Amino acid sequence: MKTPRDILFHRHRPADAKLDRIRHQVVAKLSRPVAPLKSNLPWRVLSKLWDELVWPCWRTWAALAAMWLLVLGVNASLRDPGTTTLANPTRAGGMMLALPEQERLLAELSEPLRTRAAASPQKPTPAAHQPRSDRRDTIRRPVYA
Amino acid sequence: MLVVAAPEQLPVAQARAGKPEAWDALFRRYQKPLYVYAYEMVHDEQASLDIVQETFIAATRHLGSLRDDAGFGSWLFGIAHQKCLQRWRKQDRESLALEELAAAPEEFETDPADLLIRREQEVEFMNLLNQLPWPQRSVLLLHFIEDFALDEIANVTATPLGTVKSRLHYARRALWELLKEKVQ
Repeated sequence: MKTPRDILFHRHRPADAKLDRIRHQVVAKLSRPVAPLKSNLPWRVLSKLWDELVWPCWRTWAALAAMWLLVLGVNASLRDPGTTTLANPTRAGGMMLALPEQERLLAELSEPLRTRAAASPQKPTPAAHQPRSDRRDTIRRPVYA
Repeated sequence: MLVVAAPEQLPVAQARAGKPEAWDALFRRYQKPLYVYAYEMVHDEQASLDIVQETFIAATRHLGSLRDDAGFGSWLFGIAHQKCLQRWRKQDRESLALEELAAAPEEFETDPADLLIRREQEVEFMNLLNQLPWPQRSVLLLHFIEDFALDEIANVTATPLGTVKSRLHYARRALWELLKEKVQ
């Protein structure tokens, strides 16, 4: 006489080896040593955040793209038209033509300064290198004639 | 006769601490009962082995959700039962209308060992077991294999206690009638 449990267990005895194998596999995964924690913890945290939050999230990328478009749009709308003349080749040509005119004007403005400088008395030249006694003679020598 | 280890002897606390030896002991204790249960529910060897493996892996991942260590066995069978249910829903949509929903009996015998089966009755026993509707078979197997209490079976199968009583009563009565017929 057997209990239902005995009958059921006896009936499935051939599966024992396979069950042992499954058990070993699952436990082996549990006993696998955990990789030692590296010192660059901030980098690991950032990397994990990037992998789990940013990289797979299409909303993040869509938001970033929208922000860039917004920045470009605002930048284009606020730009001063005068600052963009260099980009225009015809205006750049005009600038090249205006350059000699500006040089001439600068020369005219600097001319009075030059003439004023020429008219002013020359500063005494520093004494030549000579003995101190000789220099005293030049100062105290009486003028008889 | 196989001896069922008492729940308090199981190293659940060590398993919580992540000790592989503890997990090995727990899995060794439950691998065969889980397999027998899964096989008798889905009737497919490879699927049953997969269920056992998936149950083990799920147990290692979700042991934190187990509140009472003494309930490890029924908790583990609860995982396996859900996996059997998923397979069954995919494979064999046996009608739940066959389920006996009559009122639960007030009292009935709860010792699975009181149903002793002769060697010549074993084939008939298995045939009848396989003929039972899925919910009754599940309750009866849990009763036979692990000798779970009714409330534990209710937890495993996620059904009300009254329904478990009803299912177990009618499943056992069907078995008794068959065995009596064979003896006569």
